[in-house]
Amino acid sequence: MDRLLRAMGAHVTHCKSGREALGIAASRSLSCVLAPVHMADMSATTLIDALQQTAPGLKVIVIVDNPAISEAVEVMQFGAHAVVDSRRLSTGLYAHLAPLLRGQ
Amino acid sequence: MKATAPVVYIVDDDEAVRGSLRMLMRSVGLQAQALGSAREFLDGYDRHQSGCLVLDVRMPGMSGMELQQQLNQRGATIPVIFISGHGDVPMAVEAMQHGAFDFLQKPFRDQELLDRVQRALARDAQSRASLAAGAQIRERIESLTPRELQVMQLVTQGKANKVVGATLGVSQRTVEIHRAHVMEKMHARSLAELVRMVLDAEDATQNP
Repeated sequence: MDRLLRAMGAHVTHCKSGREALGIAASRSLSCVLAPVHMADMSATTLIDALQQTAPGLKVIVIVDNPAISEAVEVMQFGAHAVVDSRRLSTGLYAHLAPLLRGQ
Repeated sequence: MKATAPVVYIVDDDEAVRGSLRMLMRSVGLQAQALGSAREFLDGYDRHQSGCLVLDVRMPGMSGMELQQQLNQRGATIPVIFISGHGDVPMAVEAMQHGAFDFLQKPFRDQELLDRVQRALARDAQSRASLAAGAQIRERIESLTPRELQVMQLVTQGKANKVVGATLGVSQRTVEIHRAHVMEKMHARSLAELVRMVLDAEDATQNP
């Protein structure tokens, strides 16, 4: 994924947890956060909720392994910018992340 | 604004589905109107009528997604529940990105749809009550600083923080801070709600 993101022109910052992501988002300007739906310390929906307080407007793309439509819809209802199937990561990221990187 | 009971609009090209959904809505005391095409709905659409829209994704002529775009262009706030027998995740994500209230895959249980319809009607009522408070919205707008007003105008046009920053010649972080102040002062819980407030304020200005 890292190579793909760099190929899209993104500057990539890695973090190991939702808490770490919140800290980074509070201190720097980001175009987008990519997060798996489940993390050790919080779910993606909890992360989205927290980011809406600390960095309102920051987009979050949630990566889910083979999501059901109902699961994708639920995550979107929590405020995700997009839900991307991990099995079709490049297609999903080009569709949803590339426009954000272009500032659209 | 009309004070009539909310209407559940059902738009599906399948007559059997239309009939069965209309009967389902009426069985729980809801007013329902079933239409066979997106165009038919659009031609008769009255934004002042409260309700929600149960909309099939795939239809001949104008699709459900195209109808959603048309409604968005008109500033319509009616909650849309998509139903689809051929939907996939990218389609559902796209519909939600464009403001759909929900997306339900066929076949579904009657109660699943009824629960969503009730939630959509509650959302619509809440949204309309909020929009009716036009004077309050104008007061809130007047409380914004000139810079916050600029930020609000740009973000409600769909501009990303980065673009807003470049347009105004300030950093993205500064935009985020102004944006947070705008959301707080406007009492907006989401960008969609903020957009509705701005549209309502514009509507009130044009049609006092």
